[in-house]
Amino acid sequence: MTTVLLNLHNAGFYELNSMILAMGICYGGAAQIIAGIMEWKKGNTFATTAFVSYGLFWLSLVALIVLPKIGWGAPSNDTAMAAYLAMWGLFTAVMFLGTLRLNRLASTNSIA
Amino acid sequence: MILAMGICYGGAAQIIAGIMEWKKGNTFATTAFVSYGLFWLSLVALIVLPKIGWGAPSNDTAMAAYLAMWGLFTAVMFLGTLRLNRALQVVFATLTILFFMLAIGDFSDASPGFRQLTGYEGIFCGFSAIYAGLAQVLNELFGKTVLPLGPVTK
Repeated sequence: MTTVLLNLHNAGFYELNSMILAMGICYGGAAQIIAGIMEWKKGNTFATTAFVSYGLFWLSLVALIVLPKIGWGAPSNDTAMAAYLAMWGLFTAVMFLGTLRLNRLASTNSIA
Repeated sequence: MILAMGICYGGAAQIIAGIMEWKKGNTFATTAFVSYGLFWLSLVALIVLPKIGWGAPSNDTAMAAYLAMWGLFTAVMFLGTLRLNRALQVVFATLTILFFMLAIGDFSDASPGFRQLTGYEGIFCGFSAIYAGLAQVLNELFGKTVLPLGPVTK
């Protein structure tokens, strides 16, 4: 849901607004981290890694947008953002290899 | 971006992983994850605290001491990896070198070339850690060695 809402912004339907930040902190962030800890309790390493990682990805995305506004750090330039997104792309590509052992709708972001 | 990743993935995610390892009784992994998680939070804090008026900025000597202490910690943790696997040995050896190169860089006011070399060493260290982490996930998932870690025979 957060993924769809963020990409409605990327597709030009609205500006990067508080609704996206709020969903990023709460559902993309906190909810996925909780899900990851639940999966860890069940011994599912792949799901734990995926949920906790993408949960913290969302919190880091919100933080990199908010930190410059509250004076904690310099804004990220295009090179920094490209490096950030490419690292998450690399991580996700390796995790995709893991889904080859799972099912066709294993995208963890499909719900959160 | 770096601060955000430092707080969230370098910091919070590693602390969560460390608590998970503690529950499983893995003292080495607990110590490593919780320590480096809090290292990241301390790094962000030492950058941000002066900006929000909580303390004086750290001079080069202070930064060199900070990095050297983490280098010492990492060097001892590297000895622990001698009982684990080759992949973690690479991660901890290159991380030890990284901390000491950063410390030397600050202490001796090193040339831009030396700092750039330090950066490349750190990039290699980071990728080696990504490999070691994801290899464990994939190997467990596939139930066989997909990405080799080179376990040490005990």
